[in-house]
Amino acid sequence: MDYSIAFIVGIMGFCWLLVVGSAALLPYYTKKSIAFGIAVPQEQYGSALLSMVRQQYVWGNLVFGAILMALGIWPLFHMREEVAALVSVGLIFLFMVISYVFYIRAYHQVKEFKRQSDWTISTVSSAQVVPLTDERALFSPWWYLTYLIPIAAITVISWIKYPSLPDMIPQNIDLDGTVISYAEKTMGTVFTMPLILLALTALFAFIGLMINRAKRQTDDPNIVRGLRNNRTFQIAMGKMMFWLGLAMILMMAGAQLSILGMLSALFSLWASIALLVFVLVVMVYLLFAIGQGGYRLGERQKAVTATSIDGHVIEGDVAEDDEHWILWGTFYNNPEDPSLFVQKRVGMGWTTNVGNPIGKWLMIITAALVVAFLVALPFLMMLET
Amino acid sequence: MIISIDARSSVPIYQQLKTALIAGILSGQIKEGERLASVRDLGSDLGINLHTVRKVYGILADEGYIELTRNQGAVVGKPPKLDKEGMAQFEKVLLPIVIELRARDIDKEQYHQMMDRLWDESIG
Repeated sequence: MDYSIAFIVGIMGFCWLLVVGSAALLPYYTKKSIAFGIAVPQEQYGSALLSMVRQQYVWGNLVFGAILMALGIWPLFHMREEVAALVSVGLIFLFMVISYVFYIRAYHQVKEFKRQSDWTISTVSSAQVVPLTDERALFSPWWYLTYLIPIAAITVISWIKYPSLPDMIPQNIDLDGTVISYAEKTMGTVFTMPLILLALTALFAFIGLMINRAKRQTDDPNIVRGLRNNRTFQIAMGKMMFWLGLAMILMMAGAQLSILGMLSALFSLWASIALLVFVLVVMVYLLFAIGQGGYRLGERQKAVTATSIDGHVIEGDVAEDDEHWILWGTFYNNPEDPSLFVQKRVGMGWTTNVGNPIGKWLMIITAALVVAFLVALPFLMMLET
Repeated sequence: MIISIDARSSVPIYQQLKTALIAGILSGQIKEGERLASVRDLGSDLGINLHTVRKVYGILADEGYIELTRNQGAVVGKPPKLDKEGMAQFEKVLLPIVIELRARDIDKEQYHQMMDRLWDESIG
């Protein structure tokens, strides 16, 4: 087995673990007040039925994940690399479909459980009219302007270096640092990178704005504490996005420098691996230390009492907005709600309100981009080889 | 200060919002000179129509509780004094309620007790 097969197996194995792990662990990083897209009282988390539904979901995912992963890794040793990689990617998508089927099954089980229960349903929503006195400032999107410094730097360097570049510039390298493919030197090939980085900056700045503009909401029985934790979550997510974006910009700026022959070609390879590890570590921290909407913050104090702090406590109630969460709790569709960005029910972060006309278009554009990318991916992989 | 709105209450949402804001001013939780959340923020956080919030801010401005300025948004003013005309307005609203209570055999004593209790409850 040579070095490059080990590398591909490593990358594919990592992708598999990431996909299967994030699917199987879903019920453990979703809020305790949401079970598979259905709002439930937090105390029901440990109930016999929800525990059973959770276990069936997790085991189903793990068993199918292990089988499909074995089927996906095996061809890497026995087939042509690019064919085997396509098979593995195809099997990853198959796994996602199967995992979603398990999710839908769990969704219906919990829904039936809720229908038969006698939980007090609440239709109350709360908001802050004047800011809390000790409220922390949100992460300012102006920080994204700092991305322009490295972008300006590589643009200037590319401009200066352009006349002295060889007619063919390296495009792809393998693990040993040997160049696999070259591209002709044109203004297009040299200055595409700064343009991509500008687009990326705009995208990250937009996400930063979205995080700050998102609906301030909580299902903590103690509303003041819940809103405060939600703000901490907003700030943490804002910072994470900023540093992630900066790391990406620097990595790609480094790739540009290696095209210009100023940096070892191996740099971008190792930088992208480092970036992947960085993202993973930060995600795990956010999921398990802060949690969606900051629900994990101060969990131990919460166990003691919900009533002792600040007043404004709604106890034992479960929110009744399931009907607004369409497609098994995946999308929020509430034309009455003027919010554009709301907290996701399943997983972490925010989603758009598709009941809002702007939200609907944002969702359609995003979906179209994802589909276009997925359709183009196999062709791109063929082109590369 | 936190306010809560119940979407399924028999009391209209604009009335709930108006009462909650005036109660906040009355109890001192919202102070003179403080700026209220923008129409967009409040509507979005409560998940209610922006027109409803705008309507309530308009009513509160008309009644003198807040001042609407272009840059600052809604700023809490001095609680307005009630003049003779205003008093008559409230009497008009209260009269049907008093009639209904008397029709249900509530005596004057019980009526006063109820009023006293509501008076205390009004600042939560």
